[in-house]
Amino acid sequence: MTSLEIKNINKHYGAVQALHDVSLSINKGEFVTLLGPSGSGKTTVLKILAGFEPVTSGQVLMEGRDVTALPPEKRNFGLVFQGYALFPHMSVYDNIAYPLRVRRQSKAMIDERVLAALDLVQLRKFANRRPQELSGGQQQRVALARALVFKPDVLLLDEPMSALDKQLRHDLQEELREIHRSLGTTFINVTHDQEEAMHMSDRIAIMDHGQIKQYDTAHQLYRRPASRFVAEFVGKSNVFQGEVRGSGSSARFYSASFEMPLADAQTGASTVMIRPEDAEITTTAPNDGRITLPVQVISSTYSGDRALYTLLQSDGADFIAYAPARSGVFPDGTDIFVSFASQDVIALA
Amino acid sequence: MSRLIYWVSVTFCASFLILPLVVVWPLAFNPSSFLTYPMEGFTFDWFAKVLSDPGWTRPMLNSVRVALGVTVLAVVIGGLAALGVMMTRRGTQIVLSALFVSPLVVPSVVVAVALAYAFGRTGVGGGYLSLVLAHSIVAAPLVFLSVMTSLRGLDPNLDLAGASLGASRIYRFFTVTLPLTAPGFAAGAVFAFITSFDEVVLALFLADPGSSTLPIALFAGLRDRLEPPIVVVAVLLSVLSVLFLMLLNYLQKRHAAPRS
Amino acid sequence: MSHAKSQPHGSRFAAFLLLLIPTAIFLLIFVVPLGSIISLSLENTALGSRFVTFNAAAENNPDQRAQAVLQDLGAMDQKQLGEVARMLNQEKSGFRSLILDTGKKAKTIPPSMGGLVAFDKRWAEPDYWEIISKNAGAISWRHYQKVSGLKLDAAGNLTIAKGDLIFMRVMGRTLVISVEVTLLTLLISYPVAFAVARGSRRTAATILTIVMVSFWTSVLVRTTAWVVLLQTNGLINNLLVWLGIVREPIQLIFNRFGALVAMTHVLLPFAILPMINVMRTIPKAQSDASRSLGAGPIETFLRVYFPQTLRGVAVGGGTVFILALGFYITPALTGGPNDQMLAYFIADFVNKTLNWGMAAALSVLLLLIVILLICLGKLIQRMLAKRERAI
Ligand SMILES: Nc1ncnc2c1ncn2[C@@H]1O[C@H](COP(=O)(O)OP(=O)(O)O)[C@@H](O)[C@H]1O
Ligand SMILES: [Mg+2]
Repeated sequence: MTSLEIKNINKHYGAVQALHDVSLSINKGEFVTLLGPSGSGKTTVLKILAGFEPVTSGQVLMEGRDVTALPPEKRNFGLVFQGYALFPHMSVYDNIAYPLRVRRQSKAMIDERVLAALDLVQLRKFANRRPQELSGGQQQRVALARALVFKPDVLLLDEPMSALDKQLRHDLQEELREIHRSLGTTFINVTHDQEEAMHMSDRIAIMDHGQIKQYDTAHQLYRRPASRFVAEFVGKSNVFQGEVRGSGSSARFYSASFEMPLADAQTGASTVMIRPEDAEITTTAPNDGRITLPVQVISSTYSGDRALYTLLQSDGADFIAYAPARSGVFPDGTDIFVSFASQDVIALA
Repeated sequence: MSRLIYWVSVTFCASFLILPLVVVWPLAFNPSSFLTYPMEGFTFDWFAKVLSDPGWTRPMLNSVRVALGVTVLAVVIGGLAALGVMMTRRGTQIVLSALFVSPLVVPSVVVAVALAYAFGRTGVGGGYLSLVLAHSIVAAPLVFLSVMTSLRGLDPNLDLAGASLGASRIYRFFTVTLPLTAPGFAAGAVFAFITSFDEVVLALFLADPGSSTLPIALFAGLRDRLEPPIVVVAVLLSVLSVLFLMLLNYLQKRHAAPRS
Repeated sequence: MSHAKSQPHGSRFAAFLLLLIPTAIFLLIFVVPLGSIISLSLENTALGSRFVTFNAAAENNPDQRAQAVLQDLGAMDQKQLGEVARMLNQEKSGFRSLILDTGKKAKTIPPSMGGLVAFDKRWAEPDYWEIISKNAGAISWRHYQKVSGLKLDAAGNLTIAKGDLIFMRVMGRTLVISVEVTLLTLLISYPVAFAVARGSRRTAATILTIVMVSFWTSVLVRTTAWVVLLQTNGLINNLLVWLGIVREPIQLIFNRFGALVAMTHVLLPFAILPMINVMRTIPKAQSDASRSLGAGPIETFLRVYFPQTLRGVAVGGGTVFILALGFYITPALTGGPNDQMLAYFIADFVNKTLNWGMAAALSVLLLLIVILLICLGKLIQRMLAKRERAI
C-alpha cells in the first residue's frame, strides 16, 4: 500500500537545477534508501519531504493527501539530521521530551514515552547528560530517539552514520534495522555508502545529477542494473562496449575481444557487464563453450577466503575477478585465462 | 638583538596604554588637594565628599536612569533588527545592516546637532526622554552587532530540527533561538549600558539642567578646576568599566561553552 | 504551481514584522534628523520670509525695489529688524546701521530710489542691493560660502574672499591632526598587537587585558588622566624637574602636544583590535619556514610577516582616522585654541551663538568627508579582494 508519494518534482536553486522530475512511491512500513554520490540531490529530496524547501514544481502526497505546501511542523515527519542537530542547552531527556512538550502531552505521558524511547536506544542512564557530553554514536541514538518519540508517520534520516567509524556504523545499522522492524514506521534513509544501503533497505533509489536512475530492491539493482552508472555505482563490474548485429533471436553482441548471443529482452544493448564473482580464473583455456579471454595478472588483494585480481586484457583494458585462494595467489605478471558464461553477462541499456 | 627591539617596543607601547590610568588613580586617595606625588597619606575622604555632594550624586543617578532606559530600548531595537535582518535575503541584509550600524560611523557631534535640532522642533525638547532616545540610537548598533554575531554562530539546523519535531515558529524562538543567543543579547545590553553611561557629546547637547549626567559633570569640572573629586569620579567610572568588562568576558565564555 | 510561491517556508512576513519597529525608529530619530541638517544648512526663512515684497519686485526697476524694501522694513517689529540687520551685517559690515536706521524711518522716507539715497547715500551702492537680493531667497548658500570662503561676485565668478578662509583652515587643521594621530597610533599599536598575536601565552593574555581595560574605560576618563598627568604642576612636570631634565615646569597641555598625546591614547584600541584580528590569521609556520630557509628574524619579519599584516594596519588606520576627524571632547580638554578641530566649531556655533545654519553646514561638510572616506575604504577593500582572487 502506497503511503508516501513524490510526483514529478523539479527543484531549482537559482540557476542550478538540483532535481529533475523526481518521482518515488514508498509503501507503509518500508525502509527505502536514497543512494548516490555527493551532490546528486539526496539531501534536497529529504528537505522537500521534511518541508524545509519549497518545490519548483511537483507534489508530495501523504496517504493521497497533498502536503507539498504544509510547513514542517505540521507534517509529523521525524528527521535525523546529518550533524544530529541536538539542542546543546537541553539535557538528553529534554531533547527527547521536546516534541511531546510541543504537543502538550501530560507530564506523566511525557515521562513514560521519553523513558521508553531512551530504553529503545539503550541510553537510559544518560538522561541527564548534555548532548555534548556524549560520544558520536550516543548522540546519533539520541537524535534517533528524539525523532521517533512522537510516533511520526515517516522517519527521515540524512546520512545518519557518516560521522561514525566503521565498527560503530555496523553496530548501528543492525540496531536501526531492529528498531525499524519493531516499530513498523516508514523509514527513508539517505547515504552515499552502498554497503549500508544494501544492508538495510527494502528498496533503494539510485540518484545521480538530480535524477533517480533506478528504484528497486538491492538484488535487482545488483543483478539487473538499468544503466552503466548503476552497474558501476552498485558493486564492482567489468564493462564492455560493443555493437549489436542482427535482431530478435539471432541478435548477437560483438565487442573487440568476444562475441555472444543476446537474449530477446536484451536486444539493442551496446554495453554489457560481468560481475567479478561470475568470472573464473584458470591457467589453461577451459574450452567448454564459455567466453574465454587471455589476461595477465597486474595485481591482487588477498582477503583469506579469496583474492581480488586486477587483470590486463590484450586490448589494454582492465578486468577484475574474484578467485578462490586456498592454494595461493597467482603472482603479478602471470599469464592466465579468465572465462565466464554468456548467461551471466548482463546487458545494459 | 631582535628580542631586544621586541621587548623594548612592546614594554613602551603597553605602558603608554595603561600607565596613565594606573598612575593617576591612587591620587584619589591622597589627602592633599594637589594632584601629584608623593602621596601624603591614604584617605577615603574625597570619596565621601563626592558621594555626599548632590552636585555629583544627582548626575550619577541621572546617568543610571538614562542608561537603564537606553539598555531596554537599545536591546529591543537592536535585537529586533538583528532577528529580522537574519531572516531576509543577502542583498537586503547588506542594505539593512548598513542602516543599523551607521550611527557608529557618523561623528557624534553631527548626530548631536541633528537630534538637538530635531528634538527642539518636534517638541521632544531636552531632558531625560531625548537623552534616552539619542543614546539608544548610538547603542542599538552595538546590540545589533552582538546579537547578529550570536545568531550567525547558531547552527541553522537546530531551528529546522525544532520545526521537524512539530514546534511552531514562535515556540522555536522561545525554546531554541532565544536561550542559545541569550549571551549575545546580554552582551549587547552591557554594551548599551556602558555606552550610555560614558557618553558625553550627545548629553552636552541634549541634557537640560535637571537631567545632567555624570560625564557632563566631569566635563564641566575638568574645564573649571582640577580637583581630587574629579579623579574620584574617574576612578568610579573606571571601576564600573572593569566590572562590565569582566561581566562581558563571563558571558562570552558561557557563550562558547555549549559548542565545544 | 501557485502554492510554490506562497509557501510558508518563506519567512518574509515574520521578517517584515520584526523589522518594522527598528526601521521606523532608525528612520525617525536618525536618518530624518541627519537629512534635516542638510535643509537646515540651506534654510533661510529668517531672512527670506522678511523680504516677501522685495522678492516679488522687478529687478530692473529701482523705484519699485526701493518701495518694496521700505514696505518690508516697515512691516518688521523691533526684534525682527535687529535680527535681519545682524544677519546682513555678517555679509557686509555697515549693513546693521543702514537697516536699523532705514527701518526706523521706513514710514517717512519717500518710496523711491531717490528718496532712499537722499536718506542714506549708502543705498546708492549696488553692493547692498546685491547682498539683499542674494540673501532674501527661500534657500541660501551663504553658510557654505562662509565655510568654503568662496564667494560669487557680481559677474558670477567664484572668488576667494580675503580673510574668510577660517573654516578651510580649521578643516585643514582637522585633517593634519587626524593624520598625525593616525600615524602615532599605528606606530604604537603595531608592537602591542604583535605581542598579543605572537607573544607567549602569558604576555599575550596580559597585554590583551591591558588593551581591553583601556578600550572599556571611557574617553572622558582617559582624557582626565592625561589632564592630571600633563598639567603645569602635574606628575610629568614634577618628574622632569625632579630628574633635573628641565629647570622649571614646561607647557605640556593646552597645546598641540597635549592634544596629540591624549587623542592617540584614546584611539589606540581602535587600531590594535583590527591588527590583532589580522595577525592572528597568519600561521606561525610561515615564519618558521622562512627561518628554516635561511632568513634571519628581522628579514623574516620584514619580508614574510609585515606585508601580510598591512591589511590590519589599513583597517585600523582607517578606523582611527575617521574617528579622529569627528573628535571633540579630547582636543577641547587638552588642546589649545589653535588645536581645536571641526567638531569644536560645530558645538561652538550651537552653544554660543545659536547659529544652527553654520553648525549644520559644518556638520554636512564633516559628514561628507567621513562618508567619502568610508566609500574609499570599501572600494580599496573590494579592489584588494579582487586582486587576491585573481592570484
Ligand atoms: N541552498 C542551496 N543553494 C544552491 N544550490 C544548492 C543548495 N542546496 C543544494 N544545492 C545544490 O543542489 C545539488 C544537490 O545537493 P544535495 O541535495 O545537497 O546533494 P547530496 O545531499 O546528494 O550531496 C548540488 O549541486 C548542490 O550544489
Ligand atoms: Mg547531503
